[in-house]
Amino acid sequence: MNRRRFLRGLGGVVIALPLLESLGFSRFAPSVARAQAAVPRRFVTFFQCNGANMSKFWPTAGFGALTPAHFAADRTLHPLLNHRDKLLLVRNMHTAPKGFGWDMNTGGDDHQKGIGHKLTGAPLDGSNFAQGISLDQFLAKQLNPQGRAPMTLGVHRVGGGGTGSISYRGAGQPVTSETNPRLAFQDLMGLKYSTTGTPTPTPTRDLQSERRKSVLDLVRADFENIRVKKLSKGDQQKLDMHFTTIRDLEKELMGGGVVAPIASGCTPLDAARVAEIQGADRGVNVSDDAQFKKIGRMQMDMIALALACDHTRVATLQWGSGAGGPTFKWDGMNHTYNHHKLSHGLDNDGNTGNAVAGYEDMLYNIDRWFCTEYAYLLDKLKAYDEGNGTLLDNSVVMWINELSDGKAHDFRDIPCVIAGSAGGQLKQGQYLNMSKVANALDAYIPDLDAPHNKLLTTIANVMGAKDTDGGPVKRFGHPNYGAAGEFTQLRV
Amino acid sequence: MPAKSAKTSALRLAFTVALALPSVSGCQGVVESPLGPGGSGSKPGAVDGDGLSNTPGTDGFLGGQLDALACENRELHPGSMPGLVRLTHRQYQNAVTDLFGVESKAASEFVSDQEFYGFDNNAEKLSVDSVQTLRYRAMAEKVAAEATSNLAPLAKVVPCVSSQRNDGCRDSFLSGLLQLMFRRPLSDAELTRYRTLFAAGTTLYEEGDAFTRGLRVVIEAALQTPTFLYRAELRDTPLDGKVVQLDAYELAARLALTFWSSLPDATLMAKAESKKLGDPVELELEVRRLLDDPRASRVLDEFHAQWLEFGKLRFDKDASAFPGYDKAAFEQAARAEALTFARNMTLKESGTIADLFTSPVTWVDATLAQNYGVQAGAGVTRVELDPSQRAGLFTQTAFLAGHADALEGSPIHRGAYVQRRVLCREFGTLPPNVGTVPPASPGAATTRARVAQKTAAAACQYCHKHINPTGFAFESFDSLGRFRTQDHGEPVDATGALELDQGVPSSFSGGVQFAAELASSDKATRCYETQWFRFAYGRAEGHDDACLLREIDNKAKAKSYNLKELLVALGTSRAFRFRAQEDL
Repeated sequence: MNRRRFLRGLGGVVIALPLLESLGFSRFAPSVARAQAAVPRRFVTFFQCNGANMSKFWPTAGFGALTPAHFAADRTLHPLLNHRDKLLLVRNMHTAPKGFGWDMNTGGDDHQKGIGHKLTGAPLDGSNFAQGISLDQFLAKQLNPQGRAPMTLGVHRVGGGGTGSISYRGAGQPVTSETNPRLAFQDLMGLKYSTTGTPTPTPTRDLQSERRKSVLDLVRADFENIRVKKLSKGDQQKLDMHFTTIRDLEKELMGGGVVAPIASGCTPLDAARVAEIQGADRGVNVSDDAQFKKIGRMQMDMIALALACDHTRVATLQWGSGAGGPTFKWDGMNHTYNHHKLSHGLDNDGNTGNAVAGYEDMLYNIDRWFCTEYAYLLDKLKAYDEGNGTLLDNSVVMWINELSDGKAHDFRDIPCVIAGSAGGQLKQGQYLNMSKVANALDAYIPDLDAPHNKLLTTIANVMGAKDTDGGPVKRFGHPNYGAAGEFTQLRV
Repeated sequence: MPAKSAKTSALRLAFTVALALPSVSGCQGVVESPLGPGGSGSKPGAVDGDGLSNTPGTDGFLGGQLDALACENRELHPGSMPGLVRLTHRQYQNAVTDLFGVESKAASEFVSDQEFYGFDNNAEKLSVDSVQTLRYRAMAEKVAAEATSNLAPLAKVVPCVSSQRNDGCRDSFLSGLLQLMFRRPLSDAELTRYRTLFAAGTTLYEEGDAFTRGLRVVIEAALQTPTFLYRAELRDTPLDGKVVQLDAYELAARLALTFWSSLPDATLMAKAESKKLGDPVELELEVRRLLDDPRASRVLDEFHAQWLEFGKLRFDKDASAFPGYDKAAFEQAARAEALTFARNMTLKESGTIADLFTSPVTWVDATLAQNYGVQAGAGVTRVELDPSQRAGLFTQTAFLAGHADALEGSPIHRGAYVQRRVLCREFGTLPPNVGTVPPASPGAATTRARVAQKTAAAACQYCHKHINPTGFAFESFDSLGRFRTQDHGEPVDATGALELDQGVPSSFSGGVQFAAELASSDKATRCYETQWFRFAYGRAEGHDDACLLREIDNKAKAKSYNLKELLVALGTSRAFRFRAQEDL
């Protein structure tokens, strides 16, 4: 399909072509899936670690419709005041499998559980890796153009052992988040940009695509050469997974090498921002504390762009690691100890340190800072008009934490805020209790009744994912933990 | 989603036992399974919370319970191994450096691999996802452009590329370069494919002459093909239904990838071609040649950086307590010291495993010389530190200062590291809520007293009875790893007692004495061998490997545990020359 036909195929929506071309979007063409009329739904996980100051997190105002009183100036969620009509505050969920040793046969410490269980609903194995696929990967397989892997980005130091990954390709297959925006951008633009990241001049012949096709032809032949040999099951799986990604590259090239804008909303980043992202690691270590905010915003800009342009419909952003995190020294904070130490109110990570005076306020400031960054992401998504609403309206943007009370490593009453309705399917502007209890932090653990995997199931279904039988997803996560069914109270 | 395998049954048992302990606020379960792990997949977990990492536990010697007699008259079968093993990112990077003279930074640009059993090169787990495929492509395009903009390095491999540039040279290039990249001669069909691509490539770039374009497109493709990216050992004529002897080319590839972290050179390929590697004497000579080559130091550094858990060392110090502390210079020097020491002990100084634990010799720059209080010349100098204060790796700066807080040393981090990675002890699940509300420490002035007090509960002692005495042995060293005799105005107490080897009580005072105990401990020796086994073979040892490990141990023992001889034993072992197939 050539470009002109593609543009016509968009139902008359006019793309600001010069602008796109200036950023190398010139060779875009749509995939088949994208030619569908319906605007896709998207799912973003905004993942915070080390728990929160729970005394300030939830509103003091009661359950029900959100009002300005729910976002009082001295509460963590105050920065979301203007987004309140797009929000769902999801209260009193607990992580399943449970922490504190209450669920058997899951490995790791409470940090590792808090991360590994979160998007998988599955227990950890002996290497402290989750024994199941995560929701983002599950959804991407079904919903992404060509089943492309979801975008998995991180900020600061993530990766390495069980506290490293929220995203799992499958049981025992953690996915390492990309913490370098330059590389993430290269991946995002991989189909349209030369390796230096500068837009390719439009040649008379598209030599790059032709070359890549020739190379892929040969690579595919070499693959076939190995595939005909007698392979173990494990080898076969590995080879197939790799081969599929090669096939995907071929398919994309056949479409012209392209990520297609869905609508006029797919506005590329401006050149100055692109230059900043491409220089993200020039002379600095992207994992340094001082880069935390800068890198985070670059990653969020790219997530918004990737969703708007339908490069992916699913993305995760992991801010730091459990049992780690930066020392906050910006936006009015000037802490001496890093996030994890403060989460325990201590001056070291080993639980033998001295108490840090005023740590609760420091945690509150950190939580509020994350809330502000979450609001930044929502603003970005809101800025993309998709005709039937904004990109935010067509998304589920979940801000969720590894733990609730970090000091106790608590897995009950996990802080969870959702923005967007997946195209009108989730309620908006509501503060809702998932449990029979008023405060799960006071509940006796065996009595807990709101396992978080029900939220995962709910999201899977509002996103339009299917179970193996073709019907709605009945129970996301491991069958031995959590519960079947959705939190129906979240649905419209 | 369950995806349970037989491998996890031991794990389930371990957790069940651990969780059956009465306490909810104590250390759960030091797992000292009498059996090693069942393969390179899941394995009973060693878990440390809050900044401590997790690593595998028991060494592969079946907890010392294996009767020597049991290995006699027994076919020595290695544990199973994938037939396709993706190159590590470092191997890729080194290959590109060696072939094209291009510094690619692939190891940091590619999607990082996860650690299993303490190493990120697990043969079964190395895979390629969609992002990595894009990265391979981007890298291949970059490397091919650079490699063909300066043909001098490539001309060392295929001389005619800078002079002749005709069809004959094209064929020499294809067979010469690709044979090294693929670690075997090409089939005619393959040669034809690459010839076709070469021809197509001559019109597929705007820059360069036709011949250079041909070279370039071939390099682009060769760096993305599975034939290059996977070490393939797919010969399928098992000797007894399962175990396969590697052919000469497969063995050559394993040798180079293992001992150079790169591709074979022409000499090694020639030995493969002449089938000489099948002869054990020739094989041993070749292993020695590889170890005598400068490329071997890459492997020594990779191994020791991972064994010493470089990724988890932290060098943040309190600026007011340590005025003038230059984190970047200090950290760089400390890491370099540890690597240089281990590398030189192995490759240059005929060191033994015991020397790693006890030698007062080290290599320092000006920053470290000052930290140790010794005189040193410009650059990096070999010095002998005060043997009453310093002995081996664990009295050196990287270990001591990297396992420390901003103000003080951390006995828990130091002790847990040594227990996990030097003694292969596996700790079970960290209990929920452990120590999250620390008791006050009235009257506890020293670090040791505070740690002792806060881990005094019986439940904590389940783990800390091992961790604390080990860590306390290093109390004579402050947060920067400097020797000290006083802590908070009181004399340092670095005494302790432990059973390093079962049934052999030992007592010590200070890091030097503790290091001597490590040096004489069978367990520490075997643990070090096991760590090398895991790294060199890219898998955890299984039951089937117990006798092979014993054989390696015996060979090393016969050479007084000389470090280089241990590597020779690993490279000549049946576990290296044979592989057991995975389930089809």
